[in-house]
Amino acid sequence: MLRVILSRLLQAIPVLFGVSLIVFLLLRLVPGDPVSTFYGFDVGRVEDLQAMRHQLGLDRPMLVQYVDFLADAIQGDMGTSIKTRRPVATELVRYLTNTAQLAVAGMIFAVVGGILLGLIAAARRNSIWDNLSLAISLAGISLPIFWLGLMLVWIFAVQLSLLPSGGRGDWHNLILPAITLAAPSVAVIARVTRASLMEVINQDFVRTAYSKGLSEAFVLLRHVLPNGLLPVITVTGIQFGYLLAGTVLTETVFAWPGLGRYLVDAIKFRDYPVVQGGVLVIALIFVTINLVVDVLYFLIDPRLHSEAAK
Amino acid sequence: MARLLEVRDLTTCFHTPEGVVHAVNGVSFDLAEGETLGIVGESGSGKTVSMLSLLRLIPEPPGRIVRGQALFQGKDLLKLDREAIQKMRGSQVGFVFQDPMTSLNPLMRIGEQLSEPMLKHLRLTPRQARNRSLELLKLVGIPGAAHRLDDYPHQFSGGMRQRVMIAMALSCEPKILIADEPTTALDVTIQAQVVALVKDLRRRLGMAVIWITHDLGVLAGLAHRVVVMYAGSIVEQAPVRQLYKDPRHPYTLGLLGALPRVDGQHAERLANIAGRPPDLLKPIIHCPFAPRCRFAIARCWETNPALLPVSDAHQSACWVLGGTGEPFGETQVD
Repeated sequence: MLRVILSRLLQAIPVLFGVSLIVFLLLRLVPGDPVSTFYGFDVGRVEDLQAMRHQLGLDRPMLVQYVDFLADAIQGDMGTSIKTRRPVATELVRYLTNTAQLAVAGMIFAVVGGILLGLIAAARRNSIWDNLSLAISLAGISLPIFWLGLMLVWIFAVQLSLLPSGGRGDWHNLILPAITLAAPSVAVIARVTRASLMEVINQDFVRTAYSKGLSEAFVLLRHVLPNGLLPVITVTGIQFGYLLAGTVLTETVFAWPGLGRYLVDAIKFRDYPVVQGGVLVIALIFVTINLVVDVLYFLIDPRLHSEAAK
Repeated sequence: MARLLEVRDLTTCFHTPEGVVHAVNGVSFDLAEGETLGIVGESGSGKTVSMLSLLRLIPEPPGRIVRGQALFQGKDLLKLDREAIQKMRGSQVGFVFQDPMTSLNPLMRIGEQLSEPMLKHLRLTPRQARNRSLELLKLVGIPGAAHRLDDYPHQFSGGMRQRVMIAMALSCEPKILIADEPTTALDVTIQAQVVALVKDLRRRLGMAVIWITHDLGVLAGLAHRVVVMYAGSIVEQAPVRQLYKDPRHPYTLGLLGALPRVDGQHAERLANIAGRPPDLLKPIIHCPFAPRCRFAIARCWETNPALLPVSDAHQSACWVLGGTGEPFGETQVD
């Protein structure tokens, strides 16, 4: 297992390196830079612009800038935000904490809801429950996040006054954004769970389990579910990526001060260090999630142990 | 011998997109205490489905038990509620399935899989169940049993897995052991070991055995009585010696002809039964074997013969070679 983790960590290095390069280049390919955005239409004197670019080090050769950024990043220094003049690392940690709360809550909703819907659909296929699960899944995939978010706010905050409409606070504030964020993932996880479990349900060892006199609920939870979980874990890992992307919209709808909104603002302002640092952090999260997925495979399926030993 | 199981007119079908498959059509047979009954027939003849139907282990839907009775100790298995039938499975009737490679849960330790029925039916504590699992593994001859309880199925060979399956089926000391082609997926030498093991366990534990196979040869030294199935119906049943000596159905004759002999009397090619089994999607009014039968007469194409007695314990469903007299099992059905 240690070898698996180690090899995955080694593979992560070129990935992060590539991501840093692409972000760096993309930012500079996009028209406009922090200085021109700062002055906006009110184009100042050319000397002022040049002076500011020089001050920010943007007049140096591209390669020098990149190597400089990379060298600092490796040491954990993400630079200083051009807009706020605060260290990027500190800002990222603050916003990331908020987003992490949202993402984790959303992921819990997505996994629990998705597996539950999928399990019911697979156990009672072609029944009303199966169709209901399909309907919920279709709705989850088709409804745009911002629309769903607004609808939830309208129903639960405006009409029923049950939950706050946005902002940070206690766990009440987390419910609506987490559901909004989780909706598409619930749908995908439910469909994959259903397909995977239906394959497992027809396998011989399930019949063996029933032939031992075990109850249906026990067979489903103890024998069928674990065997159908591998594909579910795979898509859950992928869904986590979509979920992070979805935070931008969700955070906007619910006025949630998170990384997504922060990054979009930074992109608008061409705040190079913030965007570079933020994307790098997200890439790091991605790599970590993939590592977790691989480790989970390993924990669930004993057959992988002996393969790794060979 | 006291009668343990009494099956009458068992009929099971499957609703598929292509239509209704008539998998089992009015099967009736008896099983005595301690008896070994062989059920023989080719793939798709309804052997497995009829046995699974007894404990309602066929998936419903698409499967459906249309009618019939299966009296076990006075209770009709086909009419028990869900909880009651679950109490029968594993505790009164143990199952061993065909393919030991796929019949065990790959993600669960052997010891835990063995313990499950005992935890449920005998209400043992996990520790007691574990101790008994160890005893069972020793009973079925797993070498180094003490070190194998925490192993996973993939760490066992096919023959060893089938031994584990047998241990599991016997864990609650059932009255009936149903073995569904338990040796088909195994090497020939391992097959012989498994047959010997079941014979030995039957002698020691005194249960009745239903052994499903497509190989009449296996049954010779194992079964007391043999039921021959074709196209979802029983076409002949007889004590094992009588069936070999005096087969009264053309299909049985064909099966015997397809058997290789060790005494080398047949140097020529093994005989095979020409043609294919009938399409069970269509209801058959004539004798289902008629299209492949070299004895077929006009009557065979008009009505399907019932299972009629040839002698006391021997019945056959054939107009030409079969018996005469009162149809078997019909008097008991309401």
